[in-house]
Amino acid sequence: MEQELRVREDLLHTIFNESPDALFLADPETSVISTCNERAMSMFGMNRNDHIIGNNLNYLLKYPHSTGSWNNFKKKFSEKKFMVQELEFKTSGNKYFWGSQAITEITVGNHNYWLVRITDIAERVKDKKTIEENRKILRQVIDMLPHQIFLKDSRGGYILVNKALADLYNTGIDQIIGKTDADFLEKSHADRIYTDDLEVIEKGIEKYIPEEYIKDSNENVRILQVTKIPFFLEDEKKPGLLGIGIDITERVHDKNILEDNERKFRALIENSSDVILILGENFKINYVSPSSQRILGYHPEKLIGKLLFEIIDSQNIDTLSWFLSETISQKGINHVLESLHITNANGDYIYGEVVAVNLLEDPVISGIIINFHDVTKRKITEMELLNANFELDSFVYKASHDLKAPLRSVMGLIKLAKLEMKDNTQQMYLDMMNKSVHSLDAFIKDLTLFSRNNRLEIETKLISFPVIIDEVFNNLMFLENAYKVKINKNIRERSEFYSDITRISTILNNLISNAFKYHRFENNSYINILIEADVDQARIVVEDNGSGIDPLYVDRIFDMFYRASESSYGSGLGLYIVKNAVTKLHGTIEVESVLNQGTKFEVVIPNLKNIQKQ
Amino acid sequence: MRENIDLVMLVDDNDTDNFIHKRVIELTGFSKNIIVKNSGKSALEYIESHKSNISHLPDVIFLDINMPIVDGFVFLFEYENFPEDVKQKCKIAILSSSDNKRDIDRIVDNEYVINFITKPLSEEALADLKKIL
Repeated sequence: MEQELRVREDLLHTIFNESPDALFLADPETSVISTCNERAMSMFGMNRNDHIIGNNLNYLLKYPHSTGSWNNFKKKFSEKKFMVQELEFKTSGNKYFWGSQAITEITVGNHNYWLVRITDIAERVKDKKTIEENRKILRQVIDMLPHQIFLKDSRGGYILVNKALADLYNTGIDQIIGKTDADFLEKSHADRIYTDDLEVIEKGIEKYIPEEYIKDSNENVRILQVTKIPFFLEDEKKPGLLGIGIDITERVHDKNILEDNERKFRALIENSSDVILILGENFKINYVSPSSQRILGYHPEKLIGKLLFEIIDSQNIDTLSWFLSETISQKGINHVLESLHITNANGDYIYGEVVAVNLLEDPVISGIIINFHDVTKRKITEMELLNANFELDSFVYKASHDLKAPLRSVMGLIKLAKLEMKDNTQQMYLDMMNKSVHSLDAFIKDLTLFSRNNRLEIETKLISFPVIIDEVFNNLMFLENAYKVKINKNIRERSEFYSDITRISTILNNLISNAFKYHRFENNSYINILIEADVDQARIVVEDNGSGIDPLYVDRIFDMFYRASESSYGSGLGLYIVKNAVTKLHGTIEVESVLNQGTKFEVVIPNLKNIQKQ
Repeated sequence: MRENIDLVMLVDDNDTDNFIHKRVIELTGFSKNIIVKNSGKSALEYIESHKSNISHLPDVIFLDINMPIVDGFVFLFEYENFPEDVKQKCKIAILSSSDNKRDIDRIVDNEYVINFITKPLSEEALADLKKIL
């Protein structure tokens, strides 16, 4: 019997000491520890002698109870007789740990004891904290994402949403949880979304919705690209779904703009009156605009793969080869070929203006772009115009000759009459006739010059100013009173000067003969002629101390048929022709004049030497 | 400078001009004898028929440009074919109412043309011509 008791005691002792938890027996009144097991000592780093026995249970805590709260605790315990708490404890080495403390009341013999069990839950608390932290991080992460993330249960109720989705619905996250799309969207819209959701949930397949239109808080339509994935939630029998929405509004918008632009460009190219081709490096045609059918008579498909040279007339092949090699040699620069013959599908000639640019290195084009602009009509008009001009010129030439010939006969007859008749009155009449005939002759000459200056192209030649000036004076030396005027010529040719000789002569002739005609022929009469020619230009100054021009009329002297002097017996065309000729030569003319003192004309004409060389 | 010019020829389809020029030459005493031809063709025929007898050929031919059929240019073209001694004897002066640069340039290029005179023929023009003969 005694042995049996001892065995039992040993067993209890073993259980007590081998428990993985700390076990204490304490007095319910004083909470003073009366005994503890081995685990309790190691857990708190104490031995039996180190006051664990007789210590107060309260002092094992990191934050011991105050007397009041301890009494409250004891009062609560006396009602329930059992209590579990998670508390932070303190070891003898002042280390803290989390533990779960369970207290029950037991009776041994006549005594009541608290049986206190403390389990070290440091690991568990740490795990819980980590989980809590991870949760927070995950929450932050999904809230920071610009995409809409959500979990829905099998009924389409939101279980989890991120901030992006809440923002889209213009509400808070908590206001969405537990609700469905029907709470935020029009019924038909929400129904359609729910149909999608059900498909995912019931069939267990992933679903991709390329464009979901949702009105945002500002009533702007946002376009979402949504992926819905079946998702098994722990505490629900049915699966739910995980949704990810990506806002592609801007992308779609940009894409629409691009597509619009592309449509516009396509329309432009297809309706252009130009043919646009893209050639590969081997000059094979890779692309032809549809306008080729209209302009060249070839269906684009018939041209693709052909060489450009195959539709060019043989005599143009050299021109085209040269042009294309020029184009290839300079990347990205427009090259213009003013006129290229092409035979169209009907065998008719067409003239084209060709603009080409080398975009072989452009990753999108990777070819030579050729723009062929049909200029046939313009070319024909130009040729007709040239022809008409030529005919008109011939006509003017012939007409002026036929007008002049009889005049010259009259002049000859007057000359003869003057030689043979000695009567003074008759001589006077003959002089007057002579003057009239000469003025008619000069007028015809002016008309011819005027007509030719307007129509004839510039004919660039080397100019010798001394020769021209001599010719001018040869024409003028028989003018009345000419001998009374002192002529000062100063010609400085510092460079070869190229210009249109006829027009230069016309200008000098008119300016110098005007200087004579309107001279006062007083003492000290002079005409200064200064000509300075250099690489850039010629400066011609004709200055006299003649009658000058009334300031009232000086602005009009270059007008057609305008005569600024009452003593003028000319046609009124002279300075008009001068002005036209100067303009034609891209020069300038200026006049300074003081009535009764003199006039100075200054003409500047550019040197066409460089143009001559080309 | 030649003092004595025996014979000149006027080639012009315009009879009035021929009359005027003949009178001016007579009055100025430029030449003793004057032959008048009113077409390029008859002028060429005259030279052709006298080419072996140079003394009958004119010292100066006053040649108009604008004439029907054989104009001044055609005349000069045909004239090239005459023997050298003929061309040495007959100097050509263009006498035209044209003062067109184009005409002058075309004519002056010809080596037998010694002068270009614009109508009407004047004493001064004859004096200048005499200097270069």
